[in-house]
Amino acid sequence: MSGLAWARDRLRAFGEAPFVLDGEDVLTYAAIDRELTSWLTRLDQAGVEPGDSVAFIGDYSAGSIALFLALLLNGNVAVPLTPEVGPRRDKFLDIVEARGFFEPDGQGELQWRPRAAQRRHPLLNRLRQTGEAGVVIFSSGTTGESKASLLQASRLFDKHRDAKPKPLRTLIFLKPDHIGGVNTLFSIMFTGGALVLCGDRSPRAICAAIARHQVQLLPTTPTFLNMLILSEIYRDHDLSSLEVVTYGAEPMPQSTLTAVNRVFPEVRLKQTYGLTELGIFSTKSRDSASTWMKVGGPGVETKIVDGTLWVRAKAAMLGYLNAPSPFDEDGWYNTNDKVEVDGEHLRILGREQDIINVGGEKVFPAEIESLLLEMPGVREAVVRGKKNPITGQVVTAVLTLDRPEDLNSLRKRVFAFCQGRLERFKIPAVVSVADNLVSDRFKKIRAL
Amino acid sequence: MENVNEAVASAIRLIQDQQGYRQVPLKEEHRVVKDLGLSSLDVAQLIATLEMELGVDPFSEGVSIMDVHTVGELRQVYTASLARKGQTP
Repeated sequence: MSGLAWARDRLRAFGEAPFVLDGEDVLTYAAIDRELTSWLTRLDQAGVEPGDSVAFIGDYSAGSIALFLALLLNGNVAVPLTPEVGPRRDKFLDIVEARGFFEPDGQGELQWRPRAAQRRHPLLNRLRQTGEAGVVIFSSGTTGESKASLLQASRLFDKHRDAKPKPLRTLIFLKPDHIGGVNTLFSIMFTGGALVLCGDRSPRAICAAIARHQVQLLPTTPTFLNMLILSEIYRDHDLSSLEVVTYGAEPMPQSTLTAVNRVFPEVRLKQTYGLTELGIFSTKSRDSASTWMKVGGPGVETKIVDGTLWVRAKAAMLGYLNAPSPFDEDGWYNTNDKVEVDGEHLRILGREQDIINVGGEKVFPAEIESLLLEMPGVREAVVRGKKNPITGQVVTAVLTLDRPEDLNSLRKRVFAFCQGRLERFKIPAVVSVADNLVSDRFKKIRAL
Repeated sequence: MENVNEAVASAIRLIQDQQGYRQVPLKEEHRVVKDLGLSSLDVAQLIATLEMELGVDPFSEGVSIMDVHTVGELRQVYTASLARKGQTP
């Protein structure tokens, strides 16, 4: 039971309390526990052994939540993926040494797809030897290669071990392939809360789900809050059940925070801070109108080096499966987040690296540039981030071309080329043409 | 004003084309999210495109995006921003 037996006892103790609310379906803790038992049987029948890596593709559902928990209790390495993984799927499965994966069939039932796997990676082998379960989360990497962070399940669970029951109905906004989505699942299930599922993340669907299920806690992003206020869709729904809104994954503009406070004066606003590599930390916002916060809590140490935040966390990942360890010899991790400090409080200013944050999603210019260079007629490409009031930043591309082309048709061509090859947030929002980029690049290098 | 109207209309049309949204004749009172159905990435793209076309970014000059809901209001903030720069909108 991989040292997580207490976790199952905790789930069982909540018995008939609602756990998963999905449209009209209400599943209690006891119901999910029964489903978990049947998953353990299915895993056994499929020949999945403790120590095997197993992926599952899809958003949160009652089935995928029970499967996720079954994999961890069975001592497996669970790899949550979403359909957006697209053609990179097989590469990801190779990296994690997946024994197989579950994907939904036409009816949404998860079907087992076995595959050949090797057991070679030292980090995975270390987990296997200790009988520990793990979770792998993929995130963007500097060269465009996604990095696979291997997290130890017991470390992720530990911080919830002493959590007191506090049954909040919570809308699960981030998906299972995001550390924030994993953190929401665990923090709710260990406090006896109910998870409200909402497959569609548009303001309209989210507002309807909040009203229908009397959601009390909404963990979300500044970009979603921008859209909520901008669309005025909140006016069409009774959102009076909302007590707390937490936000993270990207810097919060003060103007957005002020507007949210104005529209929802009764709601407490709280910033979260975390990284795939380190987990999500508890924070304490100075007040609902402030982006200043204390970062830390048990198991988390912080220090500021040259205005940049470094963190050492007990729940940190074991390492990347496809990149060198980013930790220094004492276990500190450079977040690359520039911060301002005021006494005990911090304010996140953003990344210092060449990294673009679009509504909480990270984009590395090199990945986009190399794809644009594959387009017929494109000679050079420079991709940069540009400040944006909705998503914090957007991706912009400047191209040089082999021969002149109408700008509007070029923009359509770029979009069509990138669609299906890149997630939408990575597709350049604006494309412009320059005569010569080499000198532009050179100037940029000279300026450094 | 003509420039702004044309830029707003063509930027919205580009997004509708790319995303395969239903196109209806644009009206001043159309709300960009609620009526036209633009997503967060669409609105972000719209603003980035308008800055490139018109050379101004009202949202870096103290205008709050929270106060802009309709196509008419969008046109107004760009017209005002161009006027502040002494340019004919």
